[in-house]
Amino acid sequence: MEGIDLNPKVLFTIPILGGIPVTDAVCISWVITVGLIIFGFIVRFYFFPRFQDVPRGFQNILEMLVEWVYSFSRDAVHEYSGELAPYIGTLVLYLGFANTVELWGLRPPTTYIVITFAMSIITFFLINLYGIRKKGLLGRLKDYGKPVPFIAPIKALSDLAVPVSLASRMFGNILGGLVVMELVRQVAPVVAPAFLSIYFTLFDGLIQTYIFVTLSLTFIGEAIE
Amino acid sequence: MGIAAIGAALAVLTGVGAGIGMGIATGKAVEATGRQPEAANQINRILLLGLALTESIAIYGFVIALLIIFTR
Repeated sequence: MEGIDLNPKVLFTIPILGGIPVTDAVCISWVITVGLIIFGFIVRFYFFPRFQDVPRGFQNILEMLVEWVYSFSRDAVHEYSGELAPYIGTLVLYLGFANTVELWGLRPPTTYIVITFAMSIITFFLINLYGIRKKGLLGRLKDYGKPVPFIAPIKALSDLAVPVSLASRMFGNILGGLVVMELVRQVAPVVAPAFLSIYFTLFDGLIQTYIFVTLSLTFIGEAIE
Repeated sequence: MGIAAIGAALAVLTGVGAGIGMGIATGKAVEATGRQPEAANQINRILLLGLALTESIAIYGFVIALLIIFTR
């Protein structure tokens, strides 16, 4: 095999509370997070004082991104968009970089199903939290018997399938891209990977980010409906 | 590894349904764009969403095949 493992490799162990193993997926996530935090500090302390009323250039891109996230949240989640939009923006930034970090030689952390499953459990928790907040616990349980009461087990099963499908979709796509790029690098390591990774790494990674975020918002919006 | 390989090969056959569905969806999208070229952006967005959702059916088969091959 090419050495692609499905389980994360433990790099070192933090010696408190009986030894917490730290894997390479967590370390690469730290690298991405530190990069995003440094980028945030640079934008806040260098670019903010130079913002103009009519945006141009880099400020334009930033404003477009923030406006897109807010309008997207408002379309799906109407009232709670003020609270959800920052989380969605963070998801877009983190997942966008986590899927495409293969261009810099690291293995994307989303190729381990534990990472994607953790993100989809957060989405599952948010779906139930906003459903209970909008309708109360009894209202949310009554939602399961909406058209016909004996459909409740089928609806519960499809609600449980939501986080599994979100996690598997992103995991399968990004791992597929990784396997294809590894094979191409073994066969033609000179020029072909540069062109093929435009599709398999960049395009696929960004589309999967967009799909994950869209579906999360859609499911939360459905629970509020 | 004998019977596991056959199991994994059967699991990846879910790609057939996904491929047929995505082909039909793209054909309809092209037809709709030909009929009304101003709506091309909307159609493009809806098409990408639909394609990614249908592709996930094939991805489920791929994940099951990986599970069959790599876990005892």
